[in-house]
Amino acid sequence: MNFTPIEAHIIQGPLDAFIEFALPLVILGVLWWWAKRAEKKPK
Amino acid sequence: MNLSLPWPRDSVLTFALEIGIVAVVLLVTGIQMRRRGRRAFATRLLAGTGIAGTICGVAVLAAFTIAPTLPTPFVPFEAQFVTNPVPDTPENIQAGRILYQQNCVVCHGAQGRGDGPAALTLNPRPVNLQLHVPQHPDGFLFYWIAEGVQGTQMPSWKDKLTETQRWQIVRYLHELAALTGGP
Repeated sequence: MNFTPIEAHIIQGPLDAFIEFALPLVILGVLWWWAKRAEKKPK
Repeated sequence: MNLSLPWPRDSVLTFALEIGIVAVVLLVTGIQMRRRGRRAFATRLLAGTGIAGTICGVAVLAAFTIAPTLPTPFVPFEAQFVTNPVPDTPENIQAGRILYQQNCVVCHGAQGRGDGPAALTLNPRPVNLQLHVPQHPDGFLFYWIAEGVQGTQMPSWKDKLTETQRWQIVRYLHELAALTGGP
């Protein structure tokens, strides 16, 4: 039997919050910047 | 070796969902840009879709394999990757067993199922160690024993037990979870 209620667990720290919420935006930004850079390359 | 992510399944799945949205945004934008004739931009946006999609897939895979299934109480980054300096010997496990019986059984129970004599009086109830121990790296277990768990009645043991004793308990907890066959 599992006695552990979900309330026993505390939300993680700032690093975890960054990875969970900000990192996807950072990845989007980097990929977008990388894609945009292709247009600016001289032919 | 107990391979486990320092983030719980819920967090990893949230991350995977967000990366999935990023992949969709890149895909839709890439298709639009191709239609507008901005081929170089579109090609890289579509490549980005593949990269984001791969990250999403890996995150989903990790969430259902090596991520703990319950949210994890806070552990500082520097404490997360500490390994057990106490050797995995019968003497240390036996020492951990004695310390566990002296200090932990009253709440966590003899089998570590969170059903010790004092468990019913506690709110929240003590955690089921058979469930938790296999899911968390040693650094986490040691930190929770040393510092206690905020918001619960799990106390700090750093002033009552030496560092070696706390690590011996971590050794015994793995033995306990393995011997009793998990949850």
